[in-house]
Amino acid sequence: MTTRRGTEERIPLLLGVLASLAIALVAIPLVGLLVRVPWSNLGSLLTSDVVLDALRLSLISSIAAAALSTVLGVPLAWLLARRRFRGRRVVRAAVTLPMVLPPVVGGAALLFALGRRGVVGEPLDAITGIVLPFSLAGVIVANTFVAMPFLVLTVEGALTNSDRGVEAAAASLGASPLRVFWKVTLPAIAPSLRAGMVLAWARALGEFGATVTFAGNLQGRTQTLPLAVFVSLENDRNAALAMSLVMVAVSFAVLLGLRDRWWNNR
Amino acid sequence: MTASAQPRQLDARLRVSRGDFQLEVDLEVSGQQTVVLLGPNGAGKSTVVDALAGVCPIDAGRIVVDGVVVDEPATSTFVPVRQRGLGIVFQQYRLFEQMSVLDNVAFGPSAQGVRRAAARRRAAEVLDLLGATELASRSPRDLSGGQAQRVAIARALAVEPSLLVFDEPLAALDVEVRADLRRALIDVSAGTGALVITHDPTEAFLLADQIVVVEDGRVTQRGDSEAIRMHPATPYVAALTGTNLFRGTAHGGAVTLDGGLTLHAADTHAAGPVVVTIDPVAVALHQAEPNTSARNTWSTEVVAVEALGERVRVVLGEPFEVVADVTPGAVEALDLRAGMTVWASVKATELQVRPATS
Repeated sequence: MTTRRGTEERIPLLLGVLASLAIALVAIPLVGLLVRVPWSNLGSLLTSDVVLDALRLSLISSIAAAALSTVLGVPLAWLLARRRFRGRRVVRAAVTLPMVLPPVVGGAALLFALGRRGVVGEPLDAITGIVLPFSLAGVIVANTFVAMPFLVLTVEGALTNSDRGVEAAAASLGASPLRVFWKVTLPAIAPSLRAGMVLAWARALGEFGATVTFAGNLQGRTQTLPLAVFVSLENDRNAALAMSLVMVAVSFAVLLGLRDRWWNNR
Repeated sequence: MTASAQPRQLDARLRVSRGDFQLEVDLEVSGQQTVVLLGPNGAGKSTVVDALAGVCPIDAGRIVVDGVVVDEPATSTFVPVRQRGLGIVFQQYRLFEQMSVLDNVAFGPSAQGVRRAAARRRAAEVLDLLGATELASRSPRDLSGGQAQRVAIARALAVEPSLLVFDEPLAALDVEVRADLRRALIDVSAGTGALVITHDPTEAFLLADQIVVVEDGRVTQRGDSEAIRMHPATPYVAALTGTNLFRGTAHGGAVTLDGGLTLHAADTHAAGPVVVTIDPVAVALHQAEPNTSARNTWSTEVVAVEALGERVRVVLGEPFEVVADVTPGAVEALDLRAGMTVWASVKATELQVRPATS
């Protein structure tokens, strides 16, 4: 490698070239998408039955998954952050596994467990009549499966770093542990909780693999936006482009909204 | 209601083992006394707070608050801190930043089942008592250290505790606001009795009815300020508490002590009631009237001479009781013995003058 003469402010050529390539890798597909978007009849494309159904299902399932992730994930994060118990490391690894696991594998696992003939699915069907696969509930379960780890990790991190002394003070004033959690702990980590909820929601909104494997691809029942985009690529490219644009816009808005939390306002 | 008929606010025999560290401290607070637990860092003061606050259950002994056993390993009794009736004012205030000051103070009553409106009324009363009414709608984030401590005291007081516990209440505050808060602390403690934990001997002298000195997990001395100051039981206590402390009135560079004697101080700004402290090391002794630049000289009688490790403590009597720490060499040179007359001198710059609390 050659050493270059020059001022400190100059960006080393090698780093500059590689960084530019990185930007190009991310930007070119987005530009390609934006160039192809049929802007003139965007309105009619976005109001077709397929798109409206997918939009509605995506909104319902992603919001429901974010809510379910919060209701279940916050107590779990609290447990992981605040209590020493046997198998805690294993639990943490298992909970975050869906972040690493190929979503298709997650969907398959859900199918074996909660499917009509699954270990849990069969008794669930027999006792309650609830059948998860190929239903909206199934979409929500699949979305929660992949999205919850984002919430758990974010909230657990915040709880680990939050001031335990304030909680001790609340307890000394007569508050029960649940009251301390509700009135003191949660408000103190509210910004991180919000960030975790948005992350979980965004992950659920983009979910494809686990959903298609576990809940199928039925228009009007389980076909969310990503699934509809995939199908439309085959038969209606303009609709696929329009829906892709919606998802890009939403994702970008989410990232902009989160940037203060993630990048510390630099 | 007579004080003698009431149980002690606190009766604690604390035994805690933490690895090599052993805590063995007995504490009693009764009759609305203010008891100060005084000790250096690592002496076990925070373990005492943790044990009382239920953070660290004791290994043996027992804690009785207002006649109720709250921790006793022998009988497997352990009452969580929320039911102990203690009002704990923690180091660093620990206010709830997401709530207003008023809601911070109302938190305790609410947690104990008082309705929201009544809890807030109670909070407003307590804030008023502490002269902090104007802070009610503020956020704890916008408070100065002194204001935050005032709110923390109000918050602890709002639950009408059997005993107030203050953990290093004045340590984090500027000298100017200390006197103010010390005053507030004395006022609120008078009603309930208090345990104050501190490493600062001056604060201990100013606040305590009774001082308990802890060193390395054990009580090395207990008594009132006078007894501890004049008769330190260990070299450590001597160093820790070896401060001459007087009350008086300052007027333009001079301080008239409550006993009538006037001393010169370098500080010419102080006025009104003050507390004067003189480091025993700063008190010089002479055989005859000294020809020195020191502005305070007087003739006095040696009351006692006590060896304290590498130094010798000389207790001086009339016209006012002062202790002087000198080297064994000086004792020999001056042939210091109890009952003899010597001259003492203190430079004006060695007088620490602070506004008094009361």
